[in-house]
Amino acid sequence: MREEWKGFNEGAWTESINVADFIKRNYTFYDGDASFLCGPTKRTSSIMEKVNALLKEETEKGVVGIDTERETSILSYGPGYIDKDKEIIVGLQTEAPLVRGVNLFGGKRMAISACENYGYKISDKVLDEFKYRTTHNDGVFRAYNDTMRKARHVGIITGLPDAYGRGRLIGDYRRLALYGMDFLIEQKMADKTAYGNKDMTESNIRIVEELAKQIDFMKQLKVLANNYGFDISNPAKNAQEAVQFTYFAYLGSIKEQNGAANSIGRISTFLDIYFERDLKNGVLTEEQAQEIMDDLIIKLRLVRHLRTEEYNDLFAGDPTWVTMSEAGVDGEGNPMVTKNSYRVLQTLYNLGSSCEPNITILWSQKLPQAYKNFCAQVSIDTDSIQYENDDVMRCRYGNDYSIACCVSAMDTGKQMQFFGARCNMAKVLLMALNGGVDEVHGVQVAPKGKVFEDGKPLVYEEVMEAYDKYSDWIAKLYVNTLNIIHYMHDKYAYERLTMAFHDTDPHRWMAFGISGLSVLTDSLSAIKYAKVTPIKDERGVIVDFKTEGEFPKYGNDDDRVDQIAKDITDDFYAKLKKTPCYRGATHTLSVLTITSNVVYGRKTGNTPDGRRAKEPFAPGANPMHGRDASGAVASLASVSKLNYDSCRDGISNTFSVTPEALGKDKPTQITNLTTMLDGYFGRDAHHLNVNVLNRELLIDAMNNPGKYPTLTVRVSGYAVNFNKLTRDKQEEVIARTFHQKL
Amino acid sequence: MGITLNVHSIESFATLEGAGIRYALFLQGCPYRCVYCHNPDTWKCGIGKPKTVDSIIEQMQHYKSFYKNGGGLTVTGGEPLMQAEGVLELFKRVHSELGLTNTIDTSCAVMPDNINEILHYTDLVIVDLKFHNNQDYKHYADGSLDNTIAMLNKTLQSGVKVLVRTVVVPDINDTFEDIDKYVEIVNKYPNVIKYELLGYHTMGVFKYNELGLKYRLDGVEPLSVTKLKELQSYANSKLKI
Repeated sequence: MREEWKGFNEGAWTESINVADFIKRNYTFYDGDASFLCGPTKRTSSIMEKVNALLKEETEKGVVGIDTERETSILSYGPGYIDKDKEIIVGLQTEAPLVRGVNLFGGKRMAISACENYGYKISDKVLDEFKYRTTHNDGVFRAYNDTMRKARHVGIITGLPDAYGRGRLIGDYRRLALYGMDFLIEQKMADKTAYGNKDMTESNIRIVEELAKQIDFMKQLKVLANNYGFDISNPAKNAQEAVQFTYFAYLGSIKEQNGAANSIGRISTFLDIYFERDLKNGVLTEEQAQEIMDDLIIKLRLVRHLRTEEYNDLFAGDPTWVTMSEAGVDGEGNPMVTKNSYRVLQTLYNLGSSCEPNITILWSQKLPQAYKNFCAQVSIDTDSIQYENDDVMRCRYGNDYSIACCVSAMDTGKQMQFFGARCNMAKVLLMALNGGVDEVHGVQVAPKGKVFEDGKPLVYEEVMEAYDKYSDWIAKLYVNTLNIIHYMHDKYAYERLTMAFHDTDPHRWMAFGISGLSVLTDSLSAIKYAKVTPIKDERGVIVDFKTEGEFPKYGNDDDRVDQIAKDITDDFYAKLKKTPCYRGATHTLSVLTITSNVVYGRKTGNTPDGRRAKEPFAPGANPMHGRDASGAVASLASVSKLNYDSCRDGISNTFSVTPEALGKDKPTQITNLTTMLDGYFGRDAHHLNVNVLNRELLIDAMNNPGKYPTLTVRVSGYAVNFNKLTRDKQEEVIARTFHQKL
Repeated sequence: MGITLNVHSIESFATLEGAGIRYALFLQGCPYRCVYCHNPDTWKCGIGKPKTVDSIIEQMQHYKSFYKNGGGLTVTGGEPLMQAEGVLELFKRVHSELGLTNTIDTSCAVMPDNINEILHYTDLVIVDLKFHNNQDYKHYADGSLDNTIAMLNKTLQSGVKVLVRTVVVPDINDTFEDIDKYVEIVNKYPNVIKYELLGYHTMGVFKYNELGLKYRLDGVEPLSVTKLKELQSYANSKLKI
């Protein structure tokens, strides 16, 4: 065994890349409470002072700075520091903290307009270099057909990653710490030889070329580390190196590409093995261990990409989704909670609450109660973490999956995703009623069909027949559009380093999404159980509805309507599967909106459920604001009816409860929150964002942002600093259902 | 056809009416007319949604995973004991079929014939001790202290645990002397596990406007948190609990 591995238990992992096996054989389960944790050291606090000043500057100016003189890549910049002498974990994306690089690989116009938004101009040198290069965006628009362009324009499918990096990838960055770069390069070279000896089909040639690109960038990462004074050729020798190497692997990835959600994966229990070894050998104290984790988290909080206004509209609050997953149980039902799982949560106290990294608890009924309680306490105190159900994911993704972005699970380093934004389902219904005409623009987008009559009440069966036809049409168009996007992304903006930390031919998911689920569901319920009469305008387009009578609403545990929500998602997933995906990818579906529920609502006319034109949709799989009127349990029960097997890319539910409604005092609140999470996930539900706060506090924060510099709220699979949301997004968050005491 | 209850509303996630997370059943109808009531829409009898005991048990069964760690059913209102027959049936089945706990939140306005049997299936009684004399009871609630005492006596006989609550309204019952008198009553009952003061608030006033009812406490400010804390710690110092 290698010298760096001394003290570890041997296994399959010593022979070939197998981080999961390493963890399984070496981690130390911790079932105690949080009392061992240490507060911030003076060093940490002094760095945080600098960071907080920079964050304040960023909130005021939008960006602290943009490096417009060069194109971002692994080696574009020299080393950068916050405070060189004090940092334990080093490395920044550019040469100064929070200064953003420019990335033109996704699309030139996007980068130029992003700079202009903040009053910067990309240097002629950089633009010249890109003059004769094809970007991902160029490629996509060469191949889009007219219908795709129209569908994108009217907003029935938008947010597509056709002008920015697709992201939603998780490299297995732990591999660098465990094996060192030389071994990883050797493995990739062996793969290249093996694929090089196969028949040179188009797909084989592509893999061989990708391997060459990966190896090139792996070598560049060694240079980057060297510039910071580290040799990453060999495995990490101690905890500090393990954290540093893991971070270098991640840092190189985000220097190279600006994907929407480059998540860091499931690293805390892996790193704990190194901490435990050092603690046992007496070369590290608990205070130092916490300090190292604090320093890593500071770095992850500083991750930034340069985005345009349109992008920020869809994904508000400048999120980067450095999603960090932890806990869960292994295949035998043993909880994978370690002391380092606690240290990660402790950073929210030591450094203050924060939206990034997006800390995701893989919740299982079998997690130790002490850890559950600490999670609940952190939720109540900081509103910064989210929960996903390990008991439904583990059996589908194995014991070493991580979450990318908000709710997308994948086996770490062995699976990847082709991200696909989402389709506006409320608009699909309106288009079906209008025979393929968009209700806002009045243009024919989908094939011509039956236009429902003015003044004649809608008949449910007839509406469903039309909806069936148009959802079939959009599903096919949606798959084909994504196929073009990912073909071009692989061709022109391949993530060389991120993919180097994946297996060579990983399993690929193609992730579709829907938005407006509760609006569509309640609209269909209104048509079925009440009387809905269309109203046309002078163009002959149905633009409004007269809805008379009562109808059951999604979010009240009423099967009559909840079944509609379930059927819609099952049905849409089945429809997507009819069209094959690029590169043999497997279709998946999410019910997740990020903050696009506001944008989609803005682009959608009046709906039969009574929602007025331009009003926001509910986020993700949430019931519509205020319509879940039977209490939190009924609301959670409704959402839990959606079938995870049809929505394998995640079912997002954002839950807001006032502290008073959760219980009278903190211990009671903690018990009730863990009971609630057990109850919800015990019903095979998938995800829950938890906010414990008062609406009045948010209104005050909207009007007096200076009073709440670090107010964090969970919005839809991620958290944001409330001050960074635009007014319309803040108002939407405030309008959401707050479960409160009666 | 099983027994039917007249329901005002249901809160599937109640945490303040007893232990754990609870299914709170707000029953329609109340004979009292408390000046500070924040649910005047539960007063009138004969309206509300009829719900069978079967359907309530079925729904609770469906939510059972949320009600572990001591959680269960709380009947409140309105005055739940106006529908005593249904409450008894429900309580029996919550115990035998669901294995969850029962709480009753009562104004003590009525004393049903089957009270002993109901208390047998009750894990906690929340007694609303509104005033410490009959005159105030009559004036502010159209009720009587005697009813409350009678109920407390019943709970003592049956040995069920009791949580006593009093809503404190500025200038009506917010002096130390008032608290002394309340505590004097509470101290007679060793089965009381807690005495809790609640501050008067105005969050239900809009309902009076909606219902076209006159709000008799117009202009009275909510009780301050500081004052409430002060009175509660004074009460605690005098309690024998």
